[in-house]
Amino acid sequence: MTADGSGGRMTEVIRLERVSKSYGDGDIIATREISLVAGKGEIVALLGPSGCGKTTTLRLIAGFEAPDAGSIEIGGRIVANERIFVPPERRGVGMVFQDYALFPHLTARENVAFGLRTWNVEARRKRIAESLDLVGLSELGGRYSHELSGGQQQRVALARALAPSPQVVLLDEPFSDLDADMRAHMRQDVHRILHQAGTTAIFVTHDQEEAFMIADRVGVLNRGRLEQIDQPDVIYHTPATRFVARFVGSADFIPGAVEGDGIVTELGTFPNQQGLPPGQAVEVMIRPDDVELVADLAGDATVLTRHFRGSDNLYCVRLPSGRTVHSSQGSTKIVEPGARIAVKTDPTHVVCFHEDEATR
Amino acid sequence: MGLLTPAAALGVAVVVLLTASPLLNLCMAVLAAGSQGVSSLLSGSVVTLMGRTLLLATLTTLWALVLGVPPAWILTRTDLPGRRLFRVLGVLPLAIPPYIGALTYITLLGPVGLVNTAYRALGASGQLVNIYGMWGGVLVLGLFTYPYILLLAGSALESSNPALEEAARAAGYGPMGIFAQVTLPLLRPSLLAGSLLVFLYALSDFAAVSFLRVTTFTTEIYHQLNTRFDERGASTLSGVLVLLTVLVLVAQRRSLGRRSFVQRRTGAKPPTLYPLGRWRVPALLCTFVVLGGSVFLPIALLLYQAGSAATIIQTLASGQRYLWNSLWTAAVAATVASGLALFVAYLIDRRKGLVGLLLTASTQVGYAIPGTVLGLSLILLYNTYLPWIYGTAAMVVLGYLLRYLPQAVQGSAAALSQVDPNLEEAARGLGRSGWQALREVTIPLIRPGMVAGWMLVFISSIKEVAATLLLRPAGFDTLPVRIWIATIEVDFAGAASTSLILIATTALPLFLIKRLDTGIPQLD
Repeated sequence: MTADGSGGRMTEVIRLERVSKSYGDGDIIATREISLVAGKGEIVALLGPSGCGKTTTLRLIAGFEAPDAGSIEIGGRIVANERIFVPPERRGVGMVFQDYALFPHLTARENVAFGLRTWNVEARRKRIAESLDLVGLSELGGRYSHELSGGQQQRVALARALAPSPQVVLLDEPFSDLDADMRAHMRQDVHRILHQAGTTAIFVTHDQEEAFMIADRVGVLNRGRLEQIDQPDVIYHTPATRFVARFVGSADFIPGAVEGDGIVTELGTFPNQQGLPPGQAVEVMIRPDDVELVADLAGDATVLTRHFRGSDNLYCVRLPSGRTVHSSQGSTKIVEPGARIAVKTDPTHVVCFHEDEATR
Repeated sequence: MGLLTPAAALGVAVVVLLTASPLLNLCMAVLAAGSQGVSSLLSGSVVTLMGRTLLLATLTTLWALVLGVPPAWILTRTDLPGRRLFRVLGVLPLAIPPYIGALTYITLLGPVGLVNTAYRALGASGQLVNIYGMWGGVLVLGLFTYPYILLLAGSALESSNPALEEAARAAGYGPMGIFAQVTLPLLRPSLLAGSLLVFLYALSDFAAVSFLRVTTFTTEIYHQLNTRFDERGASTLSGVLVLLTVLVLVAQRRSLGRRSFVQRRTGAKPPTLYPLGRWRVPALLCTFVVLGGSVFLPIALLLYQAGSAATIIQTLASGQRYLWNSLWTAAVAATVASGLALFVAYLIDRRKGLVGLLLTASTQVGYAIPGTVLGLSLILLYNTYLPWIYGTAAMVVLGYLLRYLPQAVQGSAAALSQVDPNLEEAARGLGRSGWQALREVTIPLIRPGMVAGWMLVFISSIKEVAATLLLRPAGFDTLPVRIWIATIEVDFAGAASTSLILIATTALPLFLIKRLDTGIPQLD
C-alpha cells in the first residue's frame, strides 16, 4: 500500500503535494504540507474538528485560495504551484456549498443551466433534463430556491455542480444544514447520485459517521495536518495517532509493557502485532465495543455508571488499578452500578502508542 | 490575490481624492487663517453662536423624541385601527423639507400670520404669537425630523423579542411596568441613533433656520461669505462646525454599530399587540396631532397660501426650467453616485483592511459636512485649482454627489451584505470570471438596493438648498432656490406653489422606495 493509502490502482484525478497555506502574516496555519491523491470515481472524505483546515483544503483545490507552497494537480494538469495559478473558472471543478449558494434570482433549472453556457442549445437542454432527473427533481425545475425544501435545494446544488461533467465535485459540509432525519436520507441519496455519475468527489465533514458511510477513503485532519488517510475500517481499527483514535470513535488507553511477543496489561496480554521492541512502555487503545463484561461476583472490576443510549448501554467500569474503561453492551444487557464484574477484552486489532507520546 | 488590480487602485485613488479634497482644503484654509482665525474664534460672538446652535440642536432633539416615541409604540405594539396606513403617513414629513415646513408655520404663526390676524380681528392689538426665534426653530425642525426617531424606534419595537416582555409579564409586571422596565431600556440604542440623526440635522440646517431668523453657524457662514465676502471668517466658522459634527458623528457611528448588532433577528415571532380598549381614542388623537402638525396642516397651509390650482399651474408653466434644472442635476448626481457607490461598496465588502477603511472614511465625508460648509469648501478648492469648472452647473452636481454619496454607498453596501459571497464563488466554479460573476449574479441581486440608493440621492439632491445657493452659476435656479428667493422677496404664494411642485416631485420616488422595501434606513 502506498503512503497515501490509495493503493495506486486507479487513474489519478486529484493530486496534492505538500500543500501549505497560512493566513494573516503566516501566524494562522490552515494546512501543513498536505499530500493526497484521489482516483477516478473515488469518494474521499476530509474529516476533522472545526478549524482543522479541511475547508481550506477544499477551497485550495477549487481555486478560491492560492497555496503558499506545494502543488495541486487536477486530471494530470498542474493548477497551482509556485508559478502557476489557474483561476477557479478554468479548473473544471464542481462545488456544493454548505448553504448550497443557489442563485436566488434564478429557478432550479436556470441554476443547473448556469454552468452550461458554452454548450449548444440542444445539448444543454438534454443535459439539464438529465441532471434534474439524476437528482429526482424533474418536476420542480421551474421553482425558485426559496420555494424548495432544504433537501431539494441540496439536490439542485448537486445537479448544478454535476451538470458540466466536472472532473471532481467538492462538497463542503453538505449535510450540516439539514434536519437529522433528512440528513440520513440525503446521505444515501448523495452517495447513490455520486456513484451513478461516476464523478470523483471530495467532501468535508466533522461527522465521522457521515464520513464512514459515504466515503471510500477518509482523511483525518488535525491542526492543518493530514494525520491519516485510508479506508474507513482501517481508520477505525488501526488509527495512526491518538487524535485519530479519539476522533473516529471513543477509546480508552491502558498502559502496558512489551514482553516477548506479547503486550502485558491489566486487561490481559495482547499479541504484539506491530512488532514493538521488548521492554518498551506503551499504551494500548481499547474501544468500548472490544470490552466484554462478564457477571462475576468475585470479579475485580466495579461498574460505575450506565448510560442507556437506545441501541446499546455504555458502561463505565473501574479496574483494580483505579483506571476506568468504557464498554458498549447490548440494549437489553443491564448491570446496575456498583456491581462486581469481570472484564474481558479480545481486540481484533491491537493498536499501541508510545506512552510518552503527547496527546496531539 | 490580496492586491488591488491597477484599475481598482486607480479607482480608489480617484474616489478618495474627489471626496476628501474639499475637506482637506478647508482644513488648510483654517490653518492659513492662523492667529487671526483663532482670535476671532475666542471672541464672544463665536461662543454665543456655538451656545445657541447647540441649544437649538438639543431642544430640537428632545422635541423630536416627544413627537416620535409615543406614535412609534402606538403604531407597532397596539391594535390601533389603521396603524399600517399611519406608519406610511408618519414617514411623509421626510418628503417635506424643513424649510418648506418653516414657510408654512410662518404663514400660520408669523407676525402677520393666520393666528395673529384672527387675534386682531377679535379686537385685540399687538400679536399673540411670534414664530421668529429659537422656539420657532425648535418647533419646526422637530416636526419635520421626528420621522427618523419614529422609523428607528418603530423597527426596533417591531423586531424586539416578545419572549422578553412575556418574561416580565410572568414576573408580575403590568403593561406600564413592562414598558418602563423592559421595552424602553431595549429601545435605548435606537433612540440614541435616532436622536443623533436629528441633532446632526439641526446642526447642519440652513434654510429653515434662516427663514425663522435663528442665527446659527450655518447662517453665519453664509452671511460671512455672501454679504461680507470674508472667506477667512467663513472658513474658521466652518472648521468649528465640522469639528462639532464629527464629534457627534463618531458617537452616532458607535451607537449605530450597536444597533445593527442588537436587531438581527429573523424568523421569530412577531411582538405581542396590546389591546387599547378605552385608550383607543386618546391613542388615535395623539397620532392625529403628530401627523396633523407635520403633514396635514403644512400641506393644507401650502394649498391655502398658493391660492388656486391656476396659480400652481401658472408657476409650473413659467418656471419649467427650474423644475428641469432640479431634475437633471439630481438625476446626474444620483447616477454618478450609484456607479461610484457600487464600486466602493464592493471593495469595502470584499476587502477589509486599509483600502476598505480609507474608502469608508472618505465616502462618509458627506455626512460630516453641512451643505453650507460643503459649498464653501468646494468654492475654495475649485476656484483655486480648477477655475474652469467653477461657475458651471457641474459644481452643483458635484456638491450633491459629495453630500449624498454616503446614502448611495449605504444602499449598495446593505444590499451587498445580504449577498452570500459563496454565490460568486459558485459562479466562478461554474466557469465565470470574476467580472462575469459580478455582472450575472451579484448585480442582479443587489439591483433593488442600488435603485433605492439612487432614489435616496435623487430625493436628497432635489431638496438641497444650502450648497446649491453657494455653488450655482448666476441665474441657474432650482426649485429650492426659487422657494428661497420667493420667501426672501416675501412672495409667499409663489413660494407655496413651488413648494407643492417640489413635494410632488419627491413624494413619488419616496413612495417607490417604500414599495421596494429594502430595509435601508432613510438617512438625510
